[in-house]
Amino acid sequence: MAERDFTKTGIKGLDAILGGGIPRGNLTLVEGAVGTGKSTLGAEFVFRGATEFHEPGLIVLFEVSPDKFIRDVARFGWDLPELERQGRLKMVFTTRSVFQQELQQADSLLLDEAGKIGARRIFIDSFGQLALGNDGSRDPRDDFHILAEGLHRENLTAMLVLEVVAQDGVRLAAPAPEEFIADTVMRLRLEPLERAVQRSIEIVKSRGHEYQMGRHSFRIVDGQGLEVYRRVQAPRDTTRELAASFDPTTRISSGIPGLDEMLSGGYFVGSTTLVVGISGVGKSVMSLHYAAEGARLGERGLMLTLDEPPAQVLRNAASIGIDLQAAIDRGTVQLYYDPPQEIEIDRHFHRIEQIVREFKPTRAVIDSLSTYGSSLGPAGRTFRDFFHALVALMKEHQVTAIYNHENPEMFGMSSMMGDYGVSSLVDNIILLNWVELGDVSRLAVTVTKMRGSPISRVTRECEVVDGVGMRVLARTISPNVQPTPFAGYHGLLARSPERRPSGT
Amino acid sequence: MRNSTDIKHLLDQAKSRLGQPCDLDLLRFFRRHPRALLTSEQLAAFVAYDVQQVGRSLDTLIGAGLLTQSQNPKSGARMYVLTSGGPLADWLNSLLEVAATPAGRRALLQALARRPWPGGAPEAGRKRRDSRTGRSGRASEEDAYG
Repeated sequence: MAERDFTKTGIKGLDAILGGGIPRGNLTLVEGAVGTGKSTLGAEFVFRGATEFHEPGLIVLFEVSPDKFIRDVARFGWDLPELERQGRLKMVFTTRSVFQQELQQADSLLLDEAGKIGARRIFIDSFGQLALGNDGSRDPRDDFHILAEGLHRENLTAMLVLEVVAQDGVRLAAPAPEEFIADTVMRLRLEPLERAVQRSIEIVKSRGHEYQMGRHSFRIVDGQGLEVYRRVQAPRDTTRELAASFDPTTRISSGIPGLDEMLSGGYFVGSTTLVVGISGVGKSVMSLHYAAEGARLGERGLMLTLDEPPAQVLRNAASIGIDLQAAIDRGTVQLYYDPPQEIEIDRHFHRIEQIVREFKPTRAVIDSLSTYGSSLGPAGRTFRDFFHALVALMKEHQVTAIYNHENPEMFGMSSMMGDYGVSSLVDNIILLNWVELGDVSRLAVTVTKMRGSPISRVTRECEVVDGVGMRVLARTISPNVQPTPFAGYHGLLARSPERRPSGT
Repeated sequence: MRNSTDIKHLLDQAKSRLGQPCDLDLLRFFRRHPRALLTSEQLAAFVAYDVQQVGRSLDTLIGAGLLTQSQNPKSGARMYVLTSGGPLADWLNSLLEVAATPAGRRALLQALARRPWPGGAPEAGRKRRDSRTGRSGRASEEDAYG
């Protein structure tokens, strides 16, 4: 369908879900329970039409008085009286019965008002189910059909609010006959999210074009209006899948002395690396080195942190001699912190996508996957789908990404990811774990997986030194070095290290 | 709230424009619904006066240039549009600003009721008025949606 055949809503994120907009002339039903955002959506549809697409509009109100409506939308910065003065909008207060009569008349006063400003859009707020001004003598479905015909005759792209009764996001009434007659049906919900609620929008049907099915989340943002976030699981553009592989010819440095050697020279550009280990083992330190190395080389890095707020990340970096603030000030590092409580995953992903598109990082650190896991829960597909989408996004933009994941086991590791079985999606896996030797726990690093590259799976000791950071120790066994290097043991990962007999 | 001098001044200015309490209540209604498409009966129900009184007040407001009205001959509904600009705009804004508060409205209604007016008794046409509040006992539009 050509772009001119669509009426763009202008609502952030919604047109993308609608595949470009609403087919021109469609009668759209916006249905939902009380407080779901129907009126705001309709008001924005008309406001954007008048201000961004040169399409004047008419707002017809049955219950809310226009002055309250004007007041309520003023919080989004929409000055409806000014639009009225400019002749780009008219607001009419009427009753359902009068409205119904008007649409049955060729010389309707209402449509005359629409004609005076050349209205292309109309928003009608609102109908109860089967509650058009019907005195009981007619079939309500016929009434709605007459209404639809009246609007079509005037070439208006109409949006009508239909109130439905729902509890906990579950609709209590049967589908309304209006749904069958309308061309497009959008359903708004307030969905319980633990003890919070999340707004969602679903395009139930829309004649004449393709659209993204499923429940997408949205927010009502002060000073802006609606912001719709495509559901993370929704299929992506096929171009993303085509780009979804790493570059096996170019490597980038981890920034940690000794680690690149274990990685056969570094991470492949666009690859996905999982760093697994218990809390405090040095995963975040490893990430800081990675970002700092990028900054040193002039490569942009994104640090996405859920575990620690920015001030804490900066302080941690300073403790190992990394001036992350300077890198941020230079614009080579961007720190994005989103508190993990009641995270809205569609919105969160939307924000990451926005940063990746605009900031164009070549390196990314996600700290940590386990926090996503505990926020989203291991049950269902949300976590896995989110991770899959994130990996695809990074690969599409050839971002070399490192994902930290906390493994609860202190010594050894019986399972890489526990309940969150996504390790098959990653290209590289690095294990960080403690090895108890004598009365000291020493830090061990093992590269257990590296797609497209031979690895030795040697376990090497590493250390984190104040003011200096992390380094991987040499493997060479020297008689002058104490304590005995890891090469002098076997069974390190099996939690039962034993000294090798001398000479082996 | 403005004092009684202000109210008197406003009413003096309104000499040829307002006479009945219903006139003021209609103006208040149209302030909140500046473009309304309603039948006479519906309008009367919203402002809680009888249809005849509303008809007289509409004539007053239209005659004073405060309101325009258009009607489709085939339909019972009329489109009422409150005049937003013109020489009366400042006066109307001041009047409705005072009338926007319950106390201001009451003071204006009382002042209107005290004024001699050739159109008849100020309270004529009002349905079951509460003498203390000046509000109608009927479900007004304000009660239903406020």
